[in-house]
Amino acid sequence: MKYDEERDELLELIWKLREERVQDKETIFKRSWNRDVEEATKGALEADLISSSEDKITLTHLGEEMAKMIVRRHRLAEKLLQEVLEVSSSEMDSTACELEHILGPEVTESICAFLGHPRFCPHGKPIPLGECCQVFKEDTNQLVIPLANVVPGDTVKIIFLVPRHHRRLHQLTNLGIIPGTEIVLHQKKPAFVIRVGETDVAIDNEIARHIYVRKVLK
Amino acid sequence: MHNHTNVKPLPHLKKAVLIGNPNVGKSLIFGCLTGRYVTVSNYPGTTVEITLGDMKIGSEIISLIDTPGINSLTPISEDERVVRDILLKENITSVIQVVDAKNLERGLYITTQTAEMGLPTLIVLNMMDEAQTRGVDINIAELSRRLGVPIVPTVATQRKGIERIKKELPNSSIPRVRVSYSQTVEESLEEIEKIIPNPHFSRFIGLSILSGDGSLNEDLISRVPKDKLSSLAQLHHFSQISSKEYPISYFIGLKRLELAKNITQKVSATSFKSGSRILETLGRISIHPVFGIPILVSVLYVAWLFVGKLGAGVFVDFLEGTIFERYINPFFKIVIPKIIPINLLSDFLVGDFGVITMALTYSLAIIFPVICTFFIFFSLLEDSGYLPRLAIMVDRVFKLMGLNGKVVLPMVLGLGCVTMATLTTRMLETKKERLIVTFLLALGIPCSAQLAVVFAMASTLPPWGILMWGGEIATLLFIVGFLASCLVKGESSDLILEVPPIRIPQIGNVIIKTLARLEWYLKEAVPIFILGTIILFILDRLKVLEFIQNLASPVVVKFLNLPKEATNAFLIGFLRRDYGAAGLFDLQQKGYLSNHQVLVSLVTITLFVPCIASFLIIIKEQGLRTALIIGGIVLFLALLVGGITNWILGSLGI
Repeated sequence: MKYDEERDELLELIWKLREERVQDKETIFKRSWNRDVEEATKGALEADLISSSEDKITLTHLGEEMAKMIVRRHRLAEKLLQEVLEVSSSEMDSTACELEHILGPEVTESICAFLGHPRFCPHGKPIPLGECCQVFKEDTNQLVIPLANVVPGDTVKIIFLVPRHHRRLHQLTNLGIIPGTEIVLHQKKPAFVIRVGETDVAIDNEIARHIYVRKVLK
Repeated sequence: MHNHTNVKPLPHLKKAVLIGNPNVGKSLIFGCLTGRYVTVSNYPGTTVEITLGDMKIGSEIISLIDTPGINSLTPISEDERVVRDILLKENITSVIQVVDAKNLERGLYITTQTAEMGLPTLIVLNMMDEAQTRGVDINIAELSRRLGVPIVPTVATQRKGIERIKKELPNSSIPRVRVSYSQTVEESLEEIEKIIPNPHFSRFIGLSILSGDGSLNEDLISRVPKDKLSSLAQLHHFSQISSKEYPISYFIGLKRLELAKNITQKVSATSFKSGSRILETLGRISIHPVFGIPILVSVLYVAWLFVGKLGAGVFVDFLEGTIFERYINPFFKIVIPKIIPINLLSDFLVGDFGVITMALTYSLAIIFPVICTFFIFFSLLEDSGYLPRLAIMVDRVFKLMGLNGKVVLPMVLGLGCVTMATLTTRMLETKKERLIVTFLLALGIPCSAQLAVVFAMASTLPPWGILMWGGEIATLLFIVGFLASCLVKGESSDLILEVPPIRIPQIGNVIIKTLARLEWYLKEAVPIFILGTIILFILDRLKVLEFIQNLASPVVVKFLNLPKEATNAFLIGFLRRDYGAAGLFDLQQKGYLSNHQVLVSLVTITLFVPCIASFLIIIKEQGLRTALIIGGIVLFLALLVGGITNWILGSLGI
C-alpha cells in the first residue's frame, strides 16, 4: 500500500477520538490538522479504510488494523522517548508524531519487547497490543499472568497492578493488596476470593484481570 | 439510637478517640469502656454517625469518641474523611487504635499515619483468642518497644484486658515510626513544611497535599496565604509527574505498607495450626458457587420462620388478637368515655381513628413484634459475618443490572427499615449506585413493619398469590434497576469487599444492638403513627376524608377495583407504607376484600411511596428535587403495576 502520511494521520485521529467516544464527522474535521482533510477522507473511503454515514465516520476492519498499528507505533515511541531517552514532553510529542510513520514492523516489535510490552503510554492511554504482546501473554514459560487465569488453591505473588482506576488502586493498597504481597486464590465463582495475610477479600473478575501475579512454587 | 443532636463534650474534658479497621471490635470495646449512656450524633455536615460516651479513669472523666471502621486516613470514603477530620481538628488528647491481632499489618498501616499526624496513641490488640487459634504469635513487648507506644492485648468479647486499657491510657505517646519516602517526596515535604504555618500536623498534611487529596482544600485555603496555595498545587503536580502513570498516593501507600509489613514480620510469627476449622469450612461453603445456594435458601427460610411465622404470626396474634383486641381496647373503650364525657375527645382516643385503638394498636401490636424479630435475626446475621457472603452470592445477579453485590447489604437492611437503609447507602462508592439503591429502596423494598402486615394479609391467599406478589415485585425491581443503571449517568464501582471470618454471634452484643434499634423505632416511628392518626382524625371530622375519597375513587375503585374505603389506607400510606398496609389489613379482616382485591392492594401498597421519615432522609441525602422525582415515579409505578395486576387477574377470571 502506498505510504500516505495524511491518511495515517486521519486514521489515527479517528481512533483517538473514538477513545473519547466521539465519532461524528464534524468533530473529526474540526480536530484534524490535515491541510486537506476532505481529500484524505475521500482517499481513505476509496481504499476501503473507513466508512461514512450521514454524520459519522467509522473504521472498516482494514482501517481498524491500520489505525491500531499507527497508534501503537506512536505510543510506543512516546514511551521510548520518555522513559529511556528522557526527552522533554514537548519534544516527545512531536518526535513520536514523526516516528509513527516510519517505524517498520520489526523495529516496532523490538521496541515493544525492550520496554517490556507496556500497556500504557506516558499520557495514560492504552497501547494497542501487537503480536509480540500476544505471544508474551500466552507463553507458558512466562509466569506473570493475570490473577484471573490462576487456578484456585494456588499461592501467587503480586507483580504489578494495572493502574486503570486510581480509586481502585487506593482501595487495594489499603487492604494490603500490593506488588510483593503473597496471596492465596480460594475461588473464582461467584466472585474471586483471595486471602491476604489473615483477611479474605472478595473481588470482581474485572479487577482480577488487572492484577498480574507470578506463581509461588512451594 | 437516633437522637441526632450535636452534643459537644465540655471543653475542659480530655478527649480520646477510638479508631481501627472495620470488624475489629471497636464498638464492643467502646461499650466496655463507657457503659450505658452514650450519644449518637452525625458529624457536622455529614451523615456519618459517631458515638460519644464518658469513660471514668480513677476520678477523671475522659470523653471518648467511637468512629466508623476505616482502612486508611487518606480518605476515599466519607467515613474515612470524618475520622481523619476528627483526628486533625478535635484537639484529641489520645488515640486508642484497635487492631485485629491476626491482621497486625493492616492495623500498623494506620499507625504509620497516626504517627505522621503526631498523635499520642495507645494500641489495643484485640481478638487475641482468634489470633491464637490461627497460630499467630505476637511479641508484644518487642512491638511496644519498636512503636514506642503502650500495647494492651484484649479479648473484648470476654471483657479481658479492658481495665488495662484505662490504666495504660495516660502513657500513650506518639508512635516512633517514620516512613521514609522517595527523595522527590521528601524534598517536596520539606517545601510544604515551610509554607504551612501549623507545624504539628505538617508531615501528614504535606503527604495529603502531595497525594492531591482534595478533601483538605477547604481547610488549607483558610490557613495558607493565597499566593502560597498555587505553589502547593505545583508541588503536587511535580511529584505526580515523577510518579508517572500511577497516582502518587499509590507510592505513599506502598511505603507505609512496607514499613507495616516490616514491623509485623519482626514481631510476629505464624505457626500453621488452625483451630476453628469448622467455622472456616462453613465460611468457605457459604460462598461456594453450588453449595452456597442451599445455604442461602436455608438462611432465607429460617428468616421466614423466625420473622414471618413466629414474629408476624404467633406474636402478632397474641399481642393484637388477644392483648389489644380482648383486653386493652375494650377496657379503654369503656373507661375513657366515662372519664372524658366529651364525645370528640373520647373519639380522638378510642374512636375509629383513635390514638389508642388505631395508632398504638398498629404500632405496638402488629408492627413491633415483627420489627423485634427481624432485628434480632439481622443482628445475628451481621455478627456471624454472613452478610458480606450474601453479597458475594448475589453479585452476579446485580452485575446483570449493572450494579454489584455490595448493594444487597442496604437492601437487606431495608427489609428491616427503609429509612435506616437509605442512610447506609452512603457505604456505596459512587453517586450513581447511591441514587439507584435509594430509588429501589423507596420503590419496592418492604420494611419489616410493612412485611408484618403483608405476611398477615397474604396468609389467606393461595400459594400462587404469594408467588405472584413476590414475582411481580422482584421483576419490577430488576427491570427498574436495570433501566436506572442504563439511564443514570456516572460510574459504577467494582466489588472489593472484605470477608470477615464466620463467628458465633455474642448474644449480649446481639441484644444490645437490637435494643438500640428498637429504641430508635419507638422514638422515630411511633410518633409518626400517632401524628398520622391525628391527621386522619381531623380530616375525617372536617369531611375532607370523604372528599378525597371521592376524588381518588376513580383510580382506587375503577382502576384498581378496590372498595372506596381503601383510599383511606393509601392516604395514610403517604405517612407510612406499613401504616397504609395495616389499614388494608383491617379492611380484609372486616371482610371487605376478596382474594383478588387483597392481591392488588398488596402489590400497590408494597410499591407505594416511602414513609415520611425515609422521604426526609432521601431529601437530606439526594436533595429535594431528586426526592420529589423519586416520589413521583414511585407513586406512578405503584398505581400502574397495581392496575396491571388487577387487569391480569380480571382477564384470567380469577
